[in-house]
Amino acid sequence: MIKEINVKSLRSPAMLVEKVIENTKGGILLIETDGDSQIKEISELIKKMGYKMEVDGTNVKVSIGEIEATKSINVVGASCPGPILMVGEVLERMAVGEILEIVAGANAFTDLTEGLKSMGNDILSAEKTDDGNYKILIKKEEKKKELGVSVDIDEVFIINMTGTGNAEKAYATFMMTEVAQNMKLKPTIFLMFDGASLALKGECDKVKHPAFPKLGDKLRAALKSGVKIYVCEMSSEFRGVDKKLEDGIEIAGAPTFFRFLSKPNARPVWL
Amino acid sequence: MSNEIMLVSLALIFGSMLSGFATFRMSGMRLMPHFIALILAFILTIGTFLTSNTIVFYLAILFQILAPITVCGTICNIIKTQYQTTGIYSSHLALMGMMIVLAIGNLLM
Repeated sequence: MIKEINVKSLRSPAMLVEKVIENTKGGILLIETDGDSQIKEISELIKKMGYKMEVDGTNVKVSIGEIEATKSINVVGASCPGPILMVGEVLERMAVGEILEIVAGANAFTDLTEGLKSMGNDILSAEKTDDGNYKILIKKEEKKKELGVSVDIDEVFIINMTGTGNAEKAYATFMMTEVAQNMKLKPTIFLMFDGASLALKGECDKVKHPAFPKLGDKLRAALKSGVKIYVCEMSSEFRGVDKKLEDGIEIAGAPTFFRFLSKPNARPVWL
Repeated sequence: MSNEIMLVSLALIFGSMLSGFATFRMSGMRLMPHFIALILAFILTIGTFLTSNTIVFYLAILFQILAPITVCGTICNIIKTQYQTTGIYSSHLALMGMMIVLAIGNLLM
């Protein structure tokens, strides 16, 4: 069950939130707030009550207990673009507001969460289960129309399609990442087609231009600094590198790719 | 020794060196055994024409065979993981393939 309340302009929002939580047996409570000061007060209360919460802009999402899903689908074993197509088909038959439970493998986790978000749906929870799979709960929503407003670019989406076969572009991938970080832009790397070779364990260590550090060191430094590196599931399977990826690199697919490509605050850089 | 075949081999080696420099630049200027074998094959093949020495001739043949063999490790990996880029390497690969056939032919004739 999902409850939504608005605490905007309330001096003590925690009092109302506490009352609502006490009368809620399970599900999710969505709280619309004024901003930081209300979020701070609510956070303290939620922490005291021992519930999990997430802040998304001025909204707070509190997980109170088990949520009953309207439908359930298992996509374990399916590879890109299978999971998103299977889930999309089920979602199409569901009504707005209904909840779908998805059981997915690690390979499809990012694609599903990113892809479903870009379709306008709300991810209620995403948890790893004991068997290594993921349980994702989503609430079907109507896709909101984006308004034609100007936005500040604060992310770059670096796409490498050539791999270690083109050392200059391979170096550029990580150097642009560093420059972006210095410019306070959040970089995300996506490796596809021949670019998937960069994700193969030890492959980047074979590239060392006399004027630059080892490419492998650059890759690991990027990962250590928190940069997300995705490798296309299909491209890595095509090359047989999907089972031997460098630690920290995640498998993703078309939904993740399009999610980043359609972010209004991000610019793609094709290499 | 067949002077005609050796001359064609020299032309191939020279062409291989030029196309090899392009791939050398592409792959990040890594000094590979293949690169060294190719340059030695070039020097020894020229040496064969200049000296008519049998040892130099056999050494030239040896390096003409070694050069294509030493490229296998690198090229197999490229073909496996980066086959969309192999177009760039194809001229070099073609010359390497021809070089080994000519070297064996030179040895037999």
